[in-house]
Amino acid sequence: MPHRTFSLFILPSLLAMLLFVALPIGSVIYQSLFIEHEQIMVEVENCGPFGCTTERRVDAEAMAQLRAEEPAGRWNGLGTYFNAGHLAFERIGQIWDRTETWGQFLDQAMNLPFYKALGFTLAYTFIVTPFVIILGFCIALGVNALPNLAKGPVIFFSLLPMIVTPLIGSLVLFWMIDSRGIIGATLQTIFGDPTLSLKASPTLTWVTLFVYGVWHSAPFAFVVFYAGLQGVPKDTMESAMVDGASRREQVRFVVIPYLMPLVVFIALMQLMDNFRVFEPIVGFSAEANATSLSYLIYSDLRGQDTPLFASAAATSVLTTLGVIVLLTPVLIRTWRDFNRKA
Amino acid sequence: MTKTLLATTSLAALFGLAGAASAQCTIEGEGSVRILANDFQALHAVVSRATECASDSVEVTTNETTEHKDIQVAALSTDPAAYTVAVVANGSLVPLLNEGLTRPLDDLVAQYGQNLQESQLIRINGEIMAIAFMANSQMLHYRADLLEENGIAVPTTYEELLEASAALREAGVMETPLYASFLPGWDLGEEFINMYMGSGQPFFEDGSAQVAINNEAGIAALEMMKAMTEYMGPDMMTYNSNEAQPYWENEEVAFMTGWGSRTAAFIDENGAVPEIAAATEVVAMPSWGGNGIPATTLWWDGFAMAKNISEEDAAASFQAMMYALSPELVADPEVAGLAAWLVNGYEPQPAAEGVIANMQAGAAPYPMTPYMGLLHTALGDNLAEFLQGQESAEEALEDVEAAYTTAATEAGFIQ
Amino acid sequence: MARLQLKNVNKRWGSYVAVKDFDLDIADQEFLVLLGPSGCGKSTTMRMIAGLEDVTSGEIVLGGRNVNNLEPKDRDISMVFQSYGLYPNLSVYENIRFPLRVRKVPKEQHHEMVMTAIRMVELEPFMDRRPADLSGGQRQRVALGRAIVRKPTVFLMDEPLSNLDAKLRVSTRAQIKNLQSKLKTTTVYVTHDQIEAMTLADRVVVMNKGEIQQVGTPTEIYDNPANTFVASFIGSPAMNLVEGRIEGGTFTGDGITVEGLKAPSGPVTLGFRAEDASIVPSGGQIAAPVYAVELLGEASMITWRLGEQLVSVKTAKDYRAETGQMVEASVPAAICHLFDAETGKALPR
Repeated sequence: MPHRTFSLFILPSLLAMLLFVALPIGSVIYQSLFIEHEQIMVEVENCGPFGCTTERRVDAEAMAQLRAEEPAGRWNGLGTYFNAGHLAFERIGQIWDRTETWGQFLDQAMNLPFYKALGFTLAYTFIVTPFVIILGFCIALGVNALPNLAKGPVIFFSLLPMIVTPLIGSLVLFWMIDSRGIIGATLQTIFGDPTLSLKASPTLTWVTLFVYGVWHSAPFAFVVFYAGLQGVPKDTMESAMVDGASRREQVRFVVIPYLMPLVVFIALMQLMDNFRVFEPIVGFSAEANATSLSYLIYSDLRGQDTPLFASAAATSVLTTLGVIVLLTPVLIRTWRDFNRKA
Repeated sequence: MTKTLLATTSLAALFGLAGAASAQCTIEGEGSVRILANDFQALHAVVSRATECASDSVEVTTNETTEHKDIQVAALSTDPAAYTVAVVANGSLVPLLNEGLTRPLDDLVAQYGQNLQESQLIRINGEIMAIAFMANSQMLHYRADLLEENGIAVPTTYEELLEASAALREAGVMETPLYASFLPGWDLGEEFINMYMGSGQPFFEDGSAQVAINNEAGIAALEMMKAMTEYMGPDMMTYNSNEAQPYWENEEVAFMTGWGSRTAAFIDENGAVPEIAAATEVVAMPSWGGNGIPATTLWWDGFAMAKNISEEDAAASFQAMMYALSPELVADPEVAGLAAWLVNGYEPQPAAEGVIANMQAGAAPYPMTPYMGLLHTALGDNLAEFLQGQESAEEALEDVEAAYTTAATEAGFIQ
Repeated sequence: MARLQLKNVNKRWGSYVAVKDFDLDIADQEFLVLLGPSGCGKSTTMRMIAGLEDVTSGEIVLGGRNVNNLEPKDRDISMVFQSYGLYPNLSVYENIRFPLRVRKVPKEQHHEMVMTAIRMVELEPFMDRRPADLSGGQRQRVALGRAIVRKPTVFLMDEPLSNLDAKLRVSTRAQIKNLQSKLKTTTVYVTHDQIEAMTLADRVVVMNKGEIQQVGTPTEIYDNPANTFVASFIGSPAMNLVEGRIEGGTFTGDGITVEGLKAPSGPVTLGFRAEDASIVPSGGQIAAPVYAVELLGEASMITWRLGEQLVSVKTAKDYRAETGQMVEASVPAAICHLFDAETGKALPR
């Protein structure tokens, strides 16, 4: 294709990417470098139904003038990235100085909001993703082996977790794991511990969130694998049957190699999705025991009266970097495969 | 035309004090009334009365939503503002003041505010910036029947509350008799602020935005909250004020620190469980540490008006709100029972007893300091681990301080 | 040793009959070819032998043992598929070793067995490659190697040459023939190509619409087709068939008259092979204007249109005639086959 034709051909998508991807990311990065102007405060007397008090107040007029002069706010450079709410280098240094063992150091460092969120996010990503792939694959194999008549209904029910909105799904489960809900009460009876609460224990909350994540995403993997299974070459499958392969060996030597590209695809999608885990944390009211990077962004923007745009932007940028780091190995592999085939 | 209208309204105003309760809403002039409000029963009663003012010349639209706090600044920043009236509380008025988005109401009060009482006027530096119409605070709800059966006196301090809870547990009445809203986030932050208020100590260093809670009073407040968890159910970290009622009606708890604005539902003898409702009573929040100050904050709900609106809209909106807040509002016993009204003509009802008791015992209002919201958030996000026993109180307060300082620096309050 | 018997085997899917009353005894070491047009039931028959399809009724007996209810892997057979069925992620060596691996053959024997098979199918230079890096012929040889490596009692080959180009087909065909004569393993081979059937088979089974039409050696089938279907399916070109009547030993059809036939009077179909008849200057049984002249290289083919049917005769490659020219052909009674006009069955000669 001549270069000119090629350029014209991809121009619309390039423009769209510029407009909807590059520009927003650029603006988020820009935003993360500024913080609010220094507030000009005045003392005022507040009087109301409960009497009068003297309190400090923002001088709104003076602030309006400041903002009109410099609308982006006060230049802070990478300050927001390094502050205690994010990478917290200074606090890490303090913790390093005052702790004696690695265990203590990690324990205290993981208590910093950003690292706490990062810890959960990574754990969620790397535990849920493989389980989603394995479970989805098993369901697909199971459904594929069913008689045709039963397939329709079973597929429908297998897809339910994905059809249900994440928030609703997590709320339903949330009530079931309540200490008086069906799952919570059953667990209490099984373990004979009336104070057992899936919602209170951090470990159990993590497990609950992981289970929910697998439950919610497995249908996606299932659908992809099920579609893939329909295309497994019949000849090769039958060869394996005649050659003497057991069902397990057929799966290992024929089905899995054939579905490998789909595994890569699902892993990619799931890594991206799971790294941005958010809804289940809200749905399960799990913010006390588990926060994710996305949840940090949300709480920066919605947690207080005035949104902390710089914090939210900095966390967004760090999350984006995280996704890039996470996907790099998979992308490099795909690139190599592509080059080898070409 | 205008003259006759003016004449009728003046007459109505004259008779207003004399009890012309069934008066129609008549607004002089034309205009548009656009109300943004939180969504709960007592506010709904006010807002729905304001909608009665709709006519050929006056348009009334309302948006009642629990998300009002998140949209109010953006909605009032436009010119003209998306809403003329913002129904606010002492906490949520601050962001509007910070941005200078509300207008002084002195002229409107002078012209149309004959029904208002002095205590309703929120003056900041002498200017009336908002009109309060109800008071709210947390109060101690308790099961009078259970206390009586077990010979337990109504607790006036947290120490007594813990003893009473222990007594109920020992008597085999209830395993987890206590309910407080410990859901991380706004609820948990509010619980700590209430508790800390009971110490009488300031939240910030004088004349600056540096936080001052990382001290003995802060630790003592936290330890008291920790002591409460001993008598709360296993899911306490998900407890919040919206979800207390099922626990109460299921006879799982005997003491609850709850909002006055929700009390009506708990003592409603026409409700789901009339016998429990009948045995439910409220008192002032307990004090602790021998300070004698009820550990709670006082709140008022009221309304402010947007700056970026025309004079016609402002006049029409103010009149509509004045109609809504006329004594006729609280003449309806059902509405009167919903809250502690500050409106002219209101006779205190059971739901208001706790608020009044708190006021009389010397509770202070929720601070209207602009950076209080940031501290509230930092508290809500960082105390859960302490209450679950994974951190010491000192560590928890250090986390709070770090989170608050980071946010306050970013917001420009601390350099 | 590895005698394979099919006793009254039937396969039905609902009301559709795929194979009907298939009854056949395949001797040890025999090379049997199932031949027929697509959809005639030959592949289904083979898949039933392999165990990839259930038998609706009847019995399959392998080496004296009823295998109806055995899994494919327990039948001691191996199979070569039309599209090879190789394992794409395994090397040639590993592909061929696969049956040994999954059948738990002792490891120390693997290398020797695999190398023997690899040498037989002449793949030594390629044994480390993946199937994707091989040509079609090489891939089919990998499949053959995989089939022979563990010395099964029966080979099944399902159109193994169909995906190869014409030239490769000839050489691979020869290789298969050679392999079978060395290994002397009972082989069932499915094809729709009658040349493959004629060249490879000890015995051919011609099938149509799920039923056996004829069983016999290639020569028998060529020389004495049991019915008009076999006559028209075997041979290149297929046997000429002309409809007509016999009256007193003389067959009369459109443009053709043959005398001296031994058959009762009545309507019949007369058949003869193009290579058995010859062009004559005069006095031929066919005398008609030429419809087409085709040069085949080693011969020329003259075609007439007799009534509805086209009739061809092979002649010397230098013979020339114009379309429309009057040409005569000799069709003596000795080369003629007679078939019942209604049932199509061959009449005794």
